[in-house]
Amino acid sequence: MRSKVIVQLLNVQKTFHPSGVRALRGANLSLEVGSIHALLGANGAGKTTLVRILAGELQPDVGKIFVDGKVVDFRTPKDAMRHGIVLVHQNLSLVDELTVFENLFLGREPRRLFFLDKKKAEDEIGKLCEKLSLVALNKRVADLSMAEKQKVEIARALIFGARVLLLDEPTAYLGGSEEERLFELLVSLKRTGCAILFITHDVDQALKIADRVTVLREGETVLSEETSKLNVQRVIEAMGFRSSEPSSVCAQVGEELLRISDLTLKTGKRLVLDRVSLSVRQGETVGLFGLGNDGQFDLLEVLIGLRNPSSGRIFFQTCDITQLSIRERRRLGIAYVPKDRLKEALNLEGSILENAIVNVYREKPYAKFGLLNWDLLKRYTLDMLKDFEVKTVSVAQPVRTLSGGNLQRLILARELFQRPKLLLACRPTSGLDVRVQDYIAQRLQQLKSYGCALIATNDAEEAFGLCDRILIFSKGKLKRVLHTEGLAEPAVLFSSVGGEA
Amino acid sequence: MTHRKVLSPIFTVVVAFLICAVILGATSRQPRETLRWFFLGPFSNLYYFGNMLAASVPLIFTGLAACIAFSAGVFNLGLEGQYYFGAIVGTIIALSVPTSRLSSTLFVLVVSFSVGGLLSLASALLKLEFGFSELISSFMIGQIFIYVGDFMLNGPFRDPEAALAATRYLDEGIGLAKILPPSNLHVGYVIGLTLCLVFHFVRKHSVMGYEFKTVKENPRFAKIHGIKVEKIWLLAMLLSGGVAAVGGMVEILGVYGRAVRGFSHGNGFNGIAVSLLVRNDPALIFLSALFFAYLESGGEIASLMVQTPPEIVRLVQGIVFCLVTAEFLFRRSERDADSVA
Repeated sequence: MRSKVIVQLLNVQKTFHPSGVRALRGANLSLEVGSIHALLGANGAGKTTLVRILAGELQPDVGKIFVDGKVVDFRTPKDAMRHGIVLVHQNLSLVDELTVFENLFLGREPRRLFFLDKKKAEDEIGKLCEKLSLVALNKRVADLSMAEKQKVEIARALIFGARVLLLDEPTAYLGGSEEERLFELLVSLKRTGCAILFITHDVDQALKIADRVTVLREGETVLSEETSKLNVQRVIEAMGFRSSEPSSVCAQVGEELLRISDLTLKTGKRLVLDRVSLSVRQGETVGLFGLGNDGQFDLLEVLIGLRNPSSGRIFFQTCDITQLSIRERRRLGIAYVPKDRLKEALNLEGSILENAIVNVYREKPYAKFGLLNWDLLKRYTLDMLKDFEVKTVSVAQPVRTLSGGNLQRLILARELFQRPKLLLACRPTSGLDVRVQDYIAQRLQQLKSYGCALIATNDAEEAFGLCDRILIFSKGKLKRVLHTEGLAEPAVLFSSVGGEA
Repeated sequence: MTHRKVLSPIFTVVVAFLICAVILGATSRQPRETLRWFFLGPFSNLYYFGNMLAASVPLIFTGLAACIAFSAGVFNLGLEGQYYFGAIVGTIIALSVPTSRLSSTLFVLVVSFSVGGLLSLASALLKLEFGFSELISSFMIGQIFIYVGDFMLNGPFRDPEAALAATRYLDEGIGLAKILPPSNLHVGYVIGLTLCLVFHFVRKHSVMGYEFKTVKENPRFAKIHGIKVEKIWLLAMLLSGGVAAVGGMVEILGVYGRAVRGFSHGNGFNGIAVSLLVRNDPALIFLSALFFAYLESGGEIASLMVQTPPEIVRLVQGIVFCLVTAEFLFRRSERDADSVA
């Protein structure tokens, strides 16, 4: 039985101005009623652009979109919605202060005269909630977990009459079990006749739950096939990755670089960090793992100087740095990659150049008598970009025109190019494809020959893949230490947190 | 999009002119005469022309003052108070120092810079210490000191022989040299232009300029990478208030010769519009100040020659302000739409 095609994209092309980035060079895609479709591709392959075009947020330069066999022209997201195509945002569109119920009807409240017709709304929603097992209608959205928020977003889309759901990396912020539940939900939606398109990096995941897979590579559709006819190898090759074994260079462990003793951090009454002590030597990559926000990220903020500890001391090499400013700590050779890439690690308003020089601009020889030597800074940036294989057209280009993978390379390049003795990094590989992940792992290996790294994460695989030693945090307390050597799989981390928490 | 960057202020100016012409034409009994005096009056002779340039001087200073604060992402809405009060204190000092020396002129300018700077610094400190919005506090502190200034001019420092609430006249030796006599144009014009160009250079080529820009665009990013965000905010506010006050002092030294109650008449507030019209580009502030001064002098000449109500000019200024702000909002939504991924 051949199922019915609901949406079709033909030879869609899109170039962004003024950067001249060609995000799509001829993408094709067709979505069928009652199916789940996975959209795969390396960072920068044009996945997000494609989905935004489909949702009416962007207009293609060339190419046609068919819905139910007729050509359509989406000028705004509203046009797409009218045809039942809705992009489920990454919890961007929910109002934290309102309840789930109020959020569901935001923008299209059923009215009687000018008042919210609560009864009618409740009726409308009853069935739907059963389907999605949404119970906490009167909870404030701010109190929901990521997975619940996502469910609310999906429910909202369905209330709007969505037949086609577009999800941009729905699992990026979810933990393992939450992910399972999301997929169950998607499968049940598919049975009711929805067409679902989701973006992912994870090939295994895509093959497990999707009926059909489309792979984009540099803006072109290179593969579109039913899942049953595919295997992991073929998809990875289509994405343009060479399958490589991570090189394991065993670095010598050297002198002690960082020592923390009895570090405590309180915000208000909450104990964020509770008497944490640890020591890191040159040549080590140490993971700080906690299931959620268990203090591992806060610890890095304290170490770089963003927050003052309530008590305890921090020693770097031989000096006590507890009282030093961020600038002084960076001068000593401490580098920091913050958790929020777009808001903290980058200045999205600025150019690549301005983002690349933020750690060095005030140092000699780049600045003399308070004046900047732009020529030298440009050369510095070009060297950095070349060394770290960041692909750009020019350094004056706005940084926002880079793809996710290139942004992460740029951030890492900026922090590592000065050869820091200690790198503090929050989730350095999250949301990136295998190729960039491998690349980052390689760079961290190189760092070992002259320095050390502390990696804070809540992703067991990441901790497992990058670190030699993993310190497990739970509610601000350092619970236990695991050496990755000799451990079978990341799942051990979960059990070890559970065992003692 | 550079062509847009150039076109949109020009568009704003043209629309303002058109609206202005329509209103003038409709309200006047001799529309042709009125329009002629309004638009061509400032160019009809060197005297009017010089006065127009002179009228742009305070706007160059307050425009630059607004621009400095905006450049670091803070708002200084107290320009009017800093301009007024800084100049009054400067004048009082000027009345009691030995005159006819360059050093005393400089000293007086430094005094008013410090007074204006302290006023704006106060609101920056309130922001850092207690989290008060500097937008509100700078405005309120400014208003308070306008009244304090009024009090000083009406009370302790009033010249008993003057009919107005004003200080005694300053000695001529301390004043700024005229450029195009008999018009009001004075050396202050050159000082203002120089300061604008210096700030333009600082923004483009100095460590401080880079730090201002980074703090403005993303303070969190700046802080994480070791820029002392608080220090930049304080510095920007201090400079902004100081430059505004120097503007007031220059106006007194160059034109009035004494502090008169209400001499600021909106020059402080207009500084914000002057800066926004050219998108906070210090190198272009003189043009936008000239535009405002042109409307002002055109209105004055027209009211002198054909009895047009001078309030018309305020109306046009209001329209320009609306257009500039509207454009500000447009740009924001456009930026959001243009991001990749």
